[in-house]
Amino acid sequence: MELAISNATKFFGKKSIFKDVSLTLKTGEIVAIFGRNGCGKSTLLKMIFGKMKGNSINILYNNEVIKPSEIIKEQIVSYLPQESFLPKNLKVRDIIPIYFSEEKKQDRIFYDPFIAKISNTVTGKLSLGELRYFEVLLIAQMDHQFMMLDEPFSMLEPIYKDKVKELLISLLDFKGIIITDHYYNDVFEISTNNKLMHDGKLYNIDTVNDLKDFGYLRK
Amino acid sequence: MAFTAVCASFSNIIWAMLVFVFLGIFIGFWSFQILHKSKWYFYHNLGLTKLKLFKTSFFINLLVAIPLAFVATVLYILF
Repeated sequence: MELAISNATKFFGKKSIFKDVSLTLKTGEIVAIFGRNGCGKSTLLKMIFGKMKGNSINILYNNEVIKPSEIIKEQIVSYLPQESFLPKNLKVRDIIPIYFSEEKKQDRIFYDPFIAKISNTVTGKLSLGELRYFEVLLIAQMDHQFMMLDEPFSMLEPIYKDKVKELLISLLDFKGIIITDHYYNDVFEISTNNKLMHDGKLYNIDTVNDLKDFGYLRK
Repeated sequence: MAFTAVCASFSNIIWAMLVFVFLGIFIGFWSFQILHKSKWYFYHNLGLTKLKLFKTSFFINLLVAIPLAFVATVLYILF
């Protein structure tokens, strides 16, 4: 399975955010996108998801053209946004069956030791770390062939981070994943391709030193 | 619903139902967009677009409003 994005361009008014950006994601890959705040990482993800209109974007899904507006309908990509997306008044145990009708999948989440502890709690009362972990777990268990995670490690305590990394790696047999996060060390541990968005372009990154060269990290 | 209740208190139940079905849905979507913008992703990840949610909400509102308006009219005529 392959998702190929090309010619992605976005202007906010006259200000160019990025221009002619291309990216390919295959099953078994974790593509990391780094970049400073406001450089357009989340904007690019929203454009791929069809949630934000760009000035231009071409998407090929297994070599066939697909409109961004079809991505949600066809359930090709699942998306973890930066902000919490779960209704605050629902309990954890009530959300799981909304997302998964299959008992097997429900159990996979219910019997996660972290989730078992919070299953009777409404999401509005969870700590930010607990909430983020639950959201990542939900998105990860969905059947979509591709997954985009915008800051999945944000607010997670180390033990939760390790669980998320294990989980993401375990999904690679049947998913392709895009991650953006400022916790570059955690991302580098699991990513297969690394990119940096800088001055409206995507650059390939091999090592942490490359991030320093582009001014994302201090030398 | 709250908006419909306000309308009902200023006019009658039939007008309130019409407002509920045809105007209420726009107000509901607009409020959701303002107050719970990030929560759209809850539905999008399930394959539900805004348009699909709008259509579904409209038909549910219609299904609720028609019998309610009918009952209200009958009660109005009788009493």
